Amino acid sequence: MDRVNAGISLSGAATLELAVAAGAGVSGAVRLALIPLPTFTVGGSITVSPFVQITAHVGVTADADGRVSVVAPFGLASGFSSDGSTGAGTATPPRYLPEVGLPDAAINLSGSVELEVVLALHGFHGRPGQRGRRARHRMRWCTATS
Amino acid sequence: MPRLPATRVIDPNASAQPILHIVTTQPRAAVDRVIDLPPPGVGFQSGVYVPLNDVVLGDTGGAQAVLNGNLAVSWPTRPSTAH
Repeated sequence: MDRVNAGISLSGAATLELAVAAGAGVSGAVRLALIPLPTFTVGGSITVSPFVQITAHVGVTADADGRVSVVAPFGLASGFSSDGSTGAGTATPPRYLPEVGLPDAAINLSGSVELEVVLALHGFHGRPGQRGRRARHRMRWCTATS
Repeated sequence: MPRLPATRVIDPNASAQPILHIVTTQPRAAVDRVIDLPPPGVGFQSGVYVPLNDVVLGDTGGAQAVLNGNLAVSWPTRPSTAH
């Protein structure tokens, strides 16, 4: 059987502004629903269905009211190759360059924002789920200012 | 005079460990919010744009943390394939 390769790349950016009140000490996750990307075929008979899911994990504490902002462009790619056997794949390291703005007031604020991007490719030839590849990238940055 | 916000770039290679650990004795309110996607056809071509408007991350004794912003993701019209 011929060897086939399939891959897809993503580019994106998150722009976040976090407003905290005095005494706040919270953490949480903001999840986006699974986003189906357009399917495509490779090798003439294998249908590939890509999906992406993004979750922002945020934790912050502050002793006074304030705001802090984060701008985070990112890019990543995932793919798989198959020669007829089940499961094979590669994933490239993510690219990202977050920029963190200092708070708008003189406060003690510490926190972290972690962006989790899951890019999954599932290829099937007649039977769904026969081959698949999932790339999970967790991109993390933290800031603490006063 | 108002304090102008500065910007700094975090080294991605050093991101495996937090630059500063969060130290707090306050209880942390854990929340898990799910954001719905825009209806089909609203997003731009080969991509999706999700606004984040007043997402309350948690409440500690009345002290809230609120998230605003947006998230945009795009992908190529043609994926890479080889046979």
